[in-house]
Amino acid sequence: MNFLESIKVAVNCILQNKMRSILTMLGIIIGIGSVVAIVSVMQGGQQEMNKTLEKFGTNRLIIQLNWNEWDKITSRDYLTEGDIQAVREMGEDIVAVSPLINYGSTAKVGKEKEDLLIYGVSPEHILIENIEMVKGRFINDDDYKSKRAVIVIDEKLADKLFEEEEAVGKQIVITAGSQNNTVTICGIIKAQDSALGSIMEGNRSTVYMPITTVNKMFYDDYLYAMSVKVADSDKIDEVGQKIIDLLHRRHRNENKYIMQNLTQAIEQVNQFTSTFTLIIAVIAGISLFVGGIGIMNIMLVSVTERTREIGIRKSLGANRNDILIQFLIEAVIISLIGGILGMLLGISVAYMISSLAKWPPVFSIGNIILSFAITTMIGIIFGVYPAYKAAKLDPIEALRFE
Amino acid sequence: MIKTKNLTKIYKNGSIEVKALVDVNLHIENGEFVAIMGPSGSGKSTLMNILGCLDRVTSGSYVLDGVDVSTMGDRELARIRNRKIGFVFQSFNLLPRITALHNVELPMIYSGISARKRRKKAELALEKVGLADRMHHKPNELSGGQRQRVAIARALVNNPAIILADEPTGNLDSHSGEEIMAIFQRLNKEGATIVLVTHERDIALHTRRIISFRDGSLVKDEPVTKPVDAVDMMAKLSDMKDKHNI
Ligand SMILES: Nc1ncnc2c1ncn2[C@@H]1O[C@H](COP(=O)(O)OP(=O)(O)OP(=O)(O)O)[C@@H](O)[C@H]1O
Ligand SMILES: [Mg+2]
Repeated sequence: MNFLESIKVAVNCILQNKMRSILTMLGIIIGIGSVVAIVSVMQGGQQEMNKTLEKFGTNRLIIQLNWNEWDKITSRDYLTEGDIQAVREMGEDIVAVSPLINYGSTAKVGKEKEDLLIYGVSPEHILIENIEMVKGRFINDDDYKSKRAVIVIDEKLADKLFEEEEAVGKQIVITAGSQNNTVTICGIIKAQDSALGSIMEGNRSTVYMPITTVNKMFYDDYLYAMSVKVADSDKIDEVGQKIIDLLHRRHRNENKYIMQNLTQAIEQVNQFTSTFTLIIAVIAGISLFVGGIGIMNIMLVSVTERTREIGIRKSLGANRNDILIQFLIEAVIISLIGGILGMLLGISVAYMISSLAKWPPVFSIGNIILSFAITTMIGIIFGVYPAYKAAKLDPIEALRFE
Repeated sequence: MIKTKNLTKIYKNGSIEVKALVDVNLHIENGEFVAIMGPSGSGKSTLMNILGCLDRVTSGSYVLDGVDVSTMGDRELARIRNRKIGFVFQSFNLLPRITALHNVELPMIYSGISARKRRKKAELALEKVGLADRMHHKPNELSGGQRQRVAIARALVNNPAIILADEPTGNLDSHSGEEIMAIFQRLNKEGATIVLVTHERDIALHTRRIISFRDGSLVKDEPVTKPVDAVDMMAKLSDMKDKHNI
């Protein structure tokens, strides 16, 4: 029989039993809905993490004092300018090294007030982080050596503080403890949006100043951390360990330095993601199975209800395949409609979750095709038995059925 | 057209055997109009189901239109039903949720005729039975006689070799019954081969040959020398009605 005709018959039949069909689809709707929602939110999260990774840089490494054993740290363990130089000279594994310190602070311009996260760095830092200058310049060697009161801020902060006005060259007041310091903006960098980043940094704007100036401002001459860019991100752990060994040799101590990079964080996130995916897959699997059983049930009811119709069709020349296909198509269409409704539900739920999670969901064509494929399969798998039952009905008995 | 040899049908229910048809030798030529009569349980419907390829013989042979169908498989039988047989049932057997037109289109869906051609042929068939103005009605919006006419349109739409009608007037009043017989007579005059089962001799007398069955055997085969003309009969019936009304 005509394929199109079968689809028409199936759609009519579903429309005639709307409520029943919707209830039947519920399992599929929930199954597909939860998969679509969770997968798209997680893919959104993954994308967000990649953005953060890009910002931080996958070949970036922070070496710092082992504050886990802070009580054992003495002044001879602190890092020195000489350490930085020694690391720089380690060889081609190292691309750039910068001392690093950060302080929370506030910036004031007139009545405007903004929370800041000040990074004290050396000019070399621009090679380590993926910083893109929009205007002006990054801090330079003169700033560094002369402990100049200059600051590099991002576009967003510039917009907030000065709106349309030119920000480079303007002065802002930043706090260091109870003291106020006036600093001059020497450059503007591109703002890097990242939800994970903003979770780590709070709602503060990241700004950069010469570490020498920062140390002077905060009355702290010690160096606790350095930021390193390595040539090969695959060898990041190895190079990090080499640096730590070097520092231990130089300071004749042990267990005083640790490294921080994103590999551990990534592993943790990946593990969480795969555990979560497994849980969702099980839940979705169960509800899809229940949904499939629902379809099988309703199709068996439909076959019984329409026994006479089957007899009539057979008497008019329908063969087993015609009947089989007709009922299979009906099962697949119920399943597919359930799948589409489920996708719509999943997409809305994904947006709801995402508005809480602060990152956008990602809907990939692949997932949508996969959802369609799964629902089609469910329709076929659970529709085949009822359809087979219909197909093998004896026409005479079917015609006699009341 | 139809040729059966020692056609036998036995139903087995566990240890109980019912001989529904025993050694039936039947010969029906192209263009004939035959009535099959007999008491209840004599095997008339069983014969119709076998002639219509809905059921298989237990033994003997059945040749339809020069082809031995007693050995055919399900798929081929379905094809024969579709191309060579037109069924008319006592209980109409129309699909309730679709229009008369769509009901008439059904057999052509299974013969793979294009939608446009299907529609055209269905319209023609419905015109032939005088239902051009009721095409878009659903069966429950039609009278019994009209439903049976839709069923006849459906039976003849694929130009079958033979039309099989099992008590087509059984559920109808006498006037509608005559209407149906008038259509059959006209179709027969146009060349259609028709076999119909009936309990009523009055109806059987509209045909040109009456075959009687008893306990599964063919017991009598007689020609009808002067068949009743259904159109005349309808005129008489309405005369009578008028007289009663006065
Ligand atoms: N599926 C079946 N299983 C067992 N016996 C059957 C079956 N179908 C018919 N029979 C028997 O076969 C015999 C002939 O039945 P059939 O329906 O052909 O009679 P009929 O002449 O059409 O009767 P009626 O005039 O009442 O319609 C009956 O005795 C009936 O009980
Ligand atoms: Mg009967």
